[in-house]
Amino acid sequence: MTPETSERRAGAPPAQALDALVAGARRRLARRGRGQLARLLVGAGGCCQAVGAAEVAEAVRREVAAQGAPVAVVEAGCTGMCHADVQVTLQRQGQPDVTWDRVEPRRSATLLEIAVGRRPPASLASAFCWAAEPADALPGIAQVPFLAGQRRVLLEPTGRVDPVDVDEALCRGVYRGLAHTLALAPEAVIEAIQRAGLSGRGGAYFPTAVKWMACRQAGRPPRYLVVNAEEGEPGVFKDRHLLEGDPHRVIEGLLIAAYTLGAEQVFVYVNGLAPVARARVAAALRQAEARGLAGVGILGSNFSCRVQVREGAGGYVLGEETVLLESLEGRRAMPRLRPPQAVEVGLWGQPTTINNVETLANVPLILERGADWFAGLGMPHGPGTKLVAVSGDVARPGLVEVPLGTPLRHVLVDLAGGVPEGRALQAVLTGGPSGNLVPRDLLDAPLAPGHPEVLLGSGNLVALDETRSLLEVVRRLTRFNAAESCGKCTPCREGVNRMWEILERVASGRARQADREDLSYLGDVAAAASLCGLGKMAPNPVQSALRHFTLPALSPEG
Amino acid sequence: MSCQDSVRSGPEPQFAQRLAALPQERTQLLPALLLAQAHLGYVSDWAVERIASHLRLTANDVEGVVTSYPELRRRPPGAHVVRVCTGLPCWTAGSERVLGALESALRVCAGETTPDGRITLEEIACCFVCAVAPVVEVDGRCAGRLTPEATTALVAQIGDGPRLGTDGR
Repeated sequence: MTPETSERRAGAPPAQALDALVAGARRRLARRGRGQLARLLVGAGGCCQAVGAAEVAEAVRREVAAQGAPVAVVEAGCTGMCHADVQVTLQRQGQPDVTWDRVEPRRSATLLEIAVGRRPPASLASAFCWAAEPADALPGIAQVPFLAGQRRVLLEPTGRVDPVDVDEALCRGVYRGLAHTLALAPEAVIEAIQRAGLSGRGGAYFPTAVKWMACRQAGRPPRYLVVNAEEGEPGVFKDRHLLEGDPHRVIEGLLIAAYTLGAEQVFVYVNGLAPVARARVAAALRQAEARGLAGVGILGSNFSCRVQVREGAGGYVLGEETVLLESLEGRRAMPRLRPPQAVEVGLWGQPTTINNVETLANVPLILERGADWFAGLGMPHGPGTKLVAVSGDVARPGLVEVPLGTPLRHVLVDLAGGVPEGRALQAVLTGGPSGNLVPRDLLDAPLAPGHPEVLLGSGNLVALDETRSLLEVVRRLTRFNAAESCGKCTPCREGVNRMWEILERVASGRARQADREDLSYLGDVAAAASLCGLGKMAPNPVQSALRHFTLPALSPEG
Repeated sequence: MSCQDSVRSGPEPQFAQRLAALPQERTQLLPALLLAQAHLGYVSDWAVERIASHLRLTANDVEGVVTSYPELRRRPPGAHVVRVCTGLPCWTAGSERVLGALESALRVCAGETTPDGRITLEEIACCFVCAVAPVVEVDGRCAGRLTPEATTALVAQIGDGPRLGTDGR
């Protein structure tokens, strides 16, 4: 028996087993000098690594070794401030964290001098501290517009914790919600989730409690939980940020869900183009297993759960949950006819719940802080926060977290800084490549499920300034949607392709009078007669553009 | 390992060894295909046959699954794969100029391989690091905030050695 597993006391309630684990984790962290030692966290999510995070981390490590400095170096996730990557954050005992933006490897010597206290933090430019008000001659969060207007709950730790250190996770309260849950009846967990009003963050906003209840009531075990980390919509990168920055919280959430559902097998299906997220969730999972937080007899209880990480291989259509099941079964990536719903007849014909990463990350917080706390975030019909990925023509692209119901303008202008260089905003693509193009006069609409024009989807905004050709935008989006059609339903396979062909012809200057009407009609048929969300939504960019914008190329003279 | 194995060293035996360790269940089909691509650079006819026989499926069945995933290749790419993201956020950040610069520098169009078989140039729909656009992926690694000049320099640096980025699978 390893020292880690002996910390679990057989027969003790889960909370006591967790206390013992936390005590052990504290001892180990203290032995490693945590608390005394300063540490430098290099933002090293997928986005950060694309702009040199590995080089920065290596330079800092080399400097630490050269100076023999008592400073720990950690590769963390991204804070969501992708526009400021590569960020480096300094943590010292009893002082607020300090973060530098756009750090280059050549700054590593200065960073280290600051870390050991030989120079003040302000001696290296572009810094702020994670305190409400300015400190150390540095601006505080209130002076950082990207952060000041957010309500950071899930993103609170990302970039500022070691994502793959289970001891650190235990000490900051991760797995507390799991221990609490294991002492509850599954029905009580469902009731708490119901009272909180949590809904699915993959884009459908279906009530999580209703889904869980239906799966439990479907009977006939085994039941399965599938964690949808496929996130294959161009422009969306929220689940990656969670998995890269705080994978233990996601694992805790999926374990709570599995316990509630009575599922002893969980598949975490990670998009093929998310190597950092996949590696970190797999590493965190191995650590959780080593501590008895996953696997057999979790926290000394009689609940056992085997979690497997699976890798995808592209395909937008895999975001549709029955396609994910087909893929896990080793079949072609195509949707199933519904009903029956997956909660009744899912993986290998068994009751299966498919939950999004962000949904599951919220679950432990609800159990730990209470349903009322969660219900108090956001708005009455849509409680909680939402992660929103912002890109395109904005000054500060990145990932933000805001209460549901926050106006589009707040995210786009106040947080992301609006369109740069004095150009004006023309349109915003909301809800991914098969979402809607929204005009400027809808900027005050709330980001909330169910809005007819501003589709929230899984949380994705692409801003387009006045110089962008919207015909080119819809041509590109429709080309993507047509290519991603799995080919099962004729209206999607043929109809969306015809739409694309029309747009190609119009783009080459050969518009015909009937094009506008044909596009509209083909779109209506695909939306009405396709089996899955891909075909139903694929016409959205074109149809929303026709509704709100003039698209002069579509109106030939004569 | 059967005596039909004509290739005794290199990636094929490594792949065969890893494949043999996978449970013989259909659910392992996508993991097996990804394994093939990681070792061989693409899913070869030989790999399709081996996977089919290991998982007790028909080659036809395996073929059908391979072709439903955009990331899986049935043809060998060049020694190095360069993919320019042309998704909407990258397009607003100038991905067309980046792609154009690479097409001129390599004298191929997107979707083609240089005549010496060294570099395959492709478009990709998204690399999912959209906030550091425009993005180019070289052998599985993303580079962001590129200019056309920085991109051609990046691609010029690609060595003659074996391709990177099989991420140790």
